[in-house]
Amino acid sequence: MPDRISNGNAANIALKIIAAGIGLCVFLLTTGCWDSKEIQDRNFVLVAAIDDADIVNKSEADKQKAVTQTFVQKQGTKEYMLSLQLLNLAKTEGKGGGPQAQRTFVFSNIGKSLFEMNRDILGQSSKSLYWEHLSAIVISEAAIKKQGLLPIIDFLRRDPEMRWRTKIFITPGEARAIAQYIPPNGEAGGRYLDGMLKNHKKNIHTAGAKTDIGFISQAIDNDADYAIPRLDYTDNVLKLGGLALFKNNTLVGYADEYITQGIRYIYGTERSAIISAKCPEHPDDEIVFELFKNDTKFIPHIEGDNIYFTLDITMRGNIGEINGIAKHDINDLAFLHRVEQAIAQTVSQNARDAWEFQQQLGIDIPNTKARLKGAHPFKWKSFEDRWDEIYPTIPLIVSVNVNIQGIGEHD
Amino acid sequence: MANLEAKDKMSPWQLGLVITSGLLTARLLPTTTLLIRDAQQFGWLSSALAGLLFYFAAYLMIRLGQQFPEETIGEYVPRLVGKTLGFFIFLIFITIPLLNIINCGITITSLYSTFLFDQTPRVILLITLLLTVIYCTLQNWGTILRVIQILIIALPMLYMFYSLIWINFDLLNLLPLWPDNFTGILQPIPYHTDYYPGYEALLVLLPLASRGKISFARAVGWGFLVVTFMYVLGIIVLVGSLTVKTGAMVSTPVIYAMKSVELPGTFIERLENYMITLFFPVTYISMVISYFVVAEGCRKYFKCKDHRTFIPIFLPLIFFVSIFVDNPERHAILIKFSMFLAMFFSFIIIPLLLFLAWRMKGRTQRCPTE
Repeated sequence: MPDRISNGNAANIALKIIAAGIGLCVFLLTTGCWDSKEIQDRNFVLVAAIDDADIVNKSEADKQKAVTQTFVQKQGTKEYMLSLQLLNLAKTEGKGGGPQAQRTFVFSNIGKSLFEMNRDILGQSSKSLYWEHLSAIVISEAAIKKQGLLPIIDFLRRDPEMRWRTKIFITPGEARAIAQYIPPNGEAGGRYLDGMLKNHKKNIHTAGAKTDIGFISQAIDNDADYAIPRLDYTDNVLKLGGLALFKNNTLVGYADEYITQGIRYIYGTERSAIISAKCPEHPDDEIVFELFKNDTKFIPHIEGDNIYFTLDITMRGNIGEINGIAKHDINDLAFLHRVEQAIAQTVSQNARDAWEFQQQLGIDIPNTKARLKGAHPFKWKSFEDRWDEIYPTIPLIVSVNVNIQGIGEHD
Repeated sequence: MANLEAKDKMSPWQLGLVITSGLLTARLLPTTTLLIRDAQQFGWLSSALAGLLFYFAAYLMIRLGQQFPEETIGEYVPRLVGKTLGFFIFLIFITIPLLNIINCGITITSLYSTFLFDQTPRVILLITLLLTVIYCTLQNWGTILRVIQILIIALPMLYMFYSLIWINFDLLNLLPLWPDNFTGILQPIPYHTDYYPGYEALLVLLPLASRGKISFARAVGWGFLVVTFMYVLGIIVLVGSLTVKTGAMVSTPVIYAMKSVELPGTFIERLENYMITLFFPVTYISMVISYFVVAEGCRKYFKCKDHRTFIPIFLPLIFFVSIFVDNPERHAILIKFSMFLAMFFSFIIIPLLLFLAWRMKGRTQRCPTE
């Protein structure tokens, strides 16, 4: 009995000590009083713009500025310029400069490692940098031509702070200028770029599905070709349109808006597309079809030694615009049927052109290789080694069915 | 329905719940990379086969336990194989849950220090975690059971969160549907000791369970079935949303897949943080059960009054091993060691013990006077 009592007491004391220990640890850790940082004490990175380091050689003033911005680098050469657009959370009371000037600001640095440049930028900043809200990555064509895309995005893929749905863009011009761009509505630049690409559902001239850093990372892992939206900037005019096409690590070319549209037909991501076709009766007039719903089947076939792909698209939508001066009897079902055929023919030709364009460039954005391997794993082995020779010869058989369901509010 | 009057007893369903809740832990996070690397698109098949295999091991343990009702492994093993060998087997037995605690502790603290508290030293997280585990383990079994029954709610919540990765699912990533490398499917089965840990607890918990309408084997079997189904579906969607190559190249594919989810039209961001938070209670349950099994097993083996006596004894060991394993190489060695020990115990020692138990029973029946 005394044993039991003393055991019981000892257990109670042990429990109390442990409870006090847990309390102490939990309070210390959860109150955040020892490593907390208020939101206004952080510099949130919204845009990371990467240029070729030679950009500073454009003018003597830039050259002088770069000497101050950079750091002594013992190994390697200064390959890239990293410009970070940061969100200004500090309260601004100044009257001049306009509200846009206060919303964001840009720091630049020159070096090889993006991570090292990022940390060296702290030499220009009073607050530490946070990448959790990175909205856009803009890379210049010149930077890509240095060593390809992989060395540039490695830091962005490796760091656990990054998000995978961050938008990425390629610009033939200067990426820094895009980071410095102040949108007309005063919105922070990074959010503006992110929003622009989110409009891809209604803008078939660009591609926003499967073109973010996460999907590009997956394509690189799988040795698949990929496309990144193209961003142009001239005289304070920013325009998104077309795609930069990549094979492995290398930029092989650009797809213009027409080819981009064709690629999206093949992919089946043309939701809410605007498709214009020649009027079947008045070739000078244009009839514009607004797509509401589509169903796309892109299927590989192997028959003996013949390999081909079929693309079956069913489209439903309305007449959105008739651009012409001729009189059209839009209520005539026979005419509407001819319009449907004209639109189908336009889509079909567009898809074929995009297909041939890719074949000529030796690039495979819809990942036909994986589709063929997945659907015919055993037959795939017989021509796996000759794929590069076979791919440019594979035909695409397109079948498009258009269904006009409405003619618009006013004829 | 839990019997709140019988503090130290549980129903077969509760036994099934306890074993099931101990299976899913944060341990599976790094192992998923290895599973996808070897089994590729057919990781789900590998998990299904592993589920069957590990349930078979659990079934053997139930059969062994039923040969010695009201006794734990530490009590009957010396009678089966002698004192020295019995002690050695008992040592292996308690090492397995101890390794589970260590592995869980390392994984969950690494996860928290990478994604949530990157400024907090891992040792602080580990101390806090171990203190909370100990606090629960110091209670009697009835209280521990109630804690498990409350915290188990985190498991469906975790799975619900995880299911959001269906948003990024692409069937193309799962093709081809027919495997051309069957050894690749079988190869990662042993890794599943990280997917199905802690069922060895049956060898200590069986005497705490009362017989009911449903057999222990069936109750535990349902638990295994549910968890296996979760794994199978989970790996299908994981590969479907990530691709095999990416899954095999990232350190924690499950977290990576969750990071790729963006819910349009909601203010909730960085969903992986919610998921990591939910991994805490499910891992915590497994750690508590394992620690209780070690303490209760020792209590019975050394014939002591209270399981609490043994809890502080193992604490320094758990703490120092967890701190020592501070790099990927050591962690890989620890995972391999845990895997071999668990496999050796489940598929070599347990069948042998069961055979000896049957033989001993046969002899007793033939010679009742002995």
